[in-house]
Amino acid sequence: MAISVFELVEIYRNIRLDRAFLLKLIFFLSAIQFLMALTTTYLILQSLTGVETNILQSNEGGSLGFWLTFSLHLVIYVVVNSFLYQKLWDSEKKAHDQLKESRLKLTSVTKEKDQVAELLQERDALVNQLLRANKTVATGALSASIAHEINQPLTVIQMNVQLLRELMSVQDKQPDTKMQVELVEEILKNNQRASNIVKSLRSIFSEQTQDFERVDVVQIIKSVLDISKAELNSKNITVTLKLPDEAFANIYPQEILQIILNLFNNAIASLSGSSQKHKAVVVELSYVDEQLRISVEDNGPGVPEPNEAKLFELLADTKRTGMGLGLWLCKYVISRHDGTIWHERVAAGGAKFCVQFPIHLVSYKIRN
Amino acid sequence: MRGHVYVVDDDLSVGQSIKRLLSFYDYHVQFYSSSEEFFDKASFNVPAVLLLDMRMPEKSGIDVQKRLLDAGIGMPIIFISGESLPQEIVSGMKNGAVDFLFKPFEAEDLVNAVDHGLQQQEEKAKHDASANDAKQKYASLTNRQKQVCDYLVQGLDNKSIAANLGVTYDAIKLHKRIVLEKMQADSVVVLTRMLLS
Repeated sequence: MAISVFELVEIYRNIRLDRAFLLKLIFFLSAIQFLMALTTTYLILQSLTGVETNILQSNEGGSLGFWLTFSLHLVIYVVVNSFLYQKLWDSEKKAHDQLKESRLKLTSVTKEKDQVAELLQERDALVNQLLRANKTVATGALSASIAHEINQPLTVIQMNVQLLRELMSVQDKQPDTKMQVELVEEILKNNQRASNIVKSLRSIFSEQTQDFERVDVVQIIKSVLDISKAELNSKNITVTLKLPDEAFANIYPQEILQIILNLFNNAIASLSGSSQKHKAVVVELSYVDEQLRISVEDNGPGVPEPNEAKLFELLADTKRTGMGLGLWLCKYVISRHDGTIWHERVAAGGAKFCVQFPIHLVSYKIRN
Repeated sequence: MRGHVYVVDDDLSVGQSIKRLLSFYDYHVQFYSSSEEFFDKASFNVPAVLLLDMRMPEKSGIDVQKRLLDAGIGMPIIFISGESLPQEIVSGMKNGAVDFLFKPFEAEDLVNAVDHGLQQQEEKAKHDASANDAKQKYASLTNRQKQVCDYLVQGLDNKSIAANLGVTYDAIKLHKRIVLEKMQADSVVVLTRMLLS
């Protein structure tokens, strides 16, 4: 009896946890079984005379109840089994579903990863386009003075050729060979001068070098100086170079060149608006523990304090002209070289920008 | 010798080429590589044309032109320039530049511009001389004659002058004859033109 009551209580507790139909059925059947067992026992006990050898034979009702209870017991057993099977089946199905789901998740993760990689590539392509545009802008700012610089040798050549022609057409006089030689020398010299300017311009615009290579950074600085020279002259800015004879490094020459060009243009722009009497730019290149450090310093008005924090941010337009692109690009490019760029305040006023990067570039990094 | 030319250009090659070319065409050329050198060494007493580079390190061509004007040196200026801003050109021409040559220029254009400048210089000198001459002659008049002369230039007739000065008509006629004689003018018209310039 006690066991039956315990059974009922347990089943009831389970129903409260899991409202499955089979559990309810089990509870219902168990309750009937319990009642029937009670009735059967009662019937048997009532008709007991004390002489029976078999208590089931003495009472027909009790015997029937007993068998019915027993068969109900069997039914309950079957139902319990089926309930357990269903549970098993459910949990199996759940596990299967989970597996399937996790597989699905995995594919979506790889998909996302691909998308991120694609986005990164796209971003890199965009930055490269920006670099190209920035280069055009940077050189465009110098274009007037570059044109002036090319016009000088062209003027010399033009005049000397016309004079030479005039000299040759004079028949009656003894030809002045010394003068003619002088003119030809002058023409050659100025031809070389013009072609040097074109050469340095071409080196800035060339796109051939996509890989990093071992190059002399001193030469890069000099070629930037070549095309900025006219602009520096016209603004009366003196340039002091503190460079070693050579400084080889594994870099992307085009990118480092552009950083230097940007820093140069910034210095010129800052100085051209200043009332400084002796406008000066100092370019220095030094080795600092296996790294190259380039610094460009001007004695202009310097960076206003509120702008200092966001100097290298994208579209942080801290100059009066410009798009706020240059320094951000510099930072981006130098980070690809595993290097850094920073600004230093010059005690006497003015700004100093430093770039530092390893000489041995091991891997070219695309940063997020 | 066709005239004096000063060349101021910070580019040695350009300056020397201009000097060589113009020397060949029989001009007397002085080359200065900076405006400072030009102001230090050039003589401003001889009539000369100035070939001036617009873009130089210390001073722009416009600055040099202003300094010359301020000093009262009316030297004809021809600007030579590779790249010039529109306001530079306008300012240069407004202040009386003879010409603007863009590098690279033809030798012929250069020579023409120089000739034009020299011609302007010559006319100006002639003009200055005659003005000077008239001034001297005017100074030789007596006070009364000067009064008569002024009235004549103002376009008054003899009667009005006589009335203004309170003298007789005949006296004015006499004064007029002496004034014209002293000023070496054939008529009042010539006298007026001489004194107004």
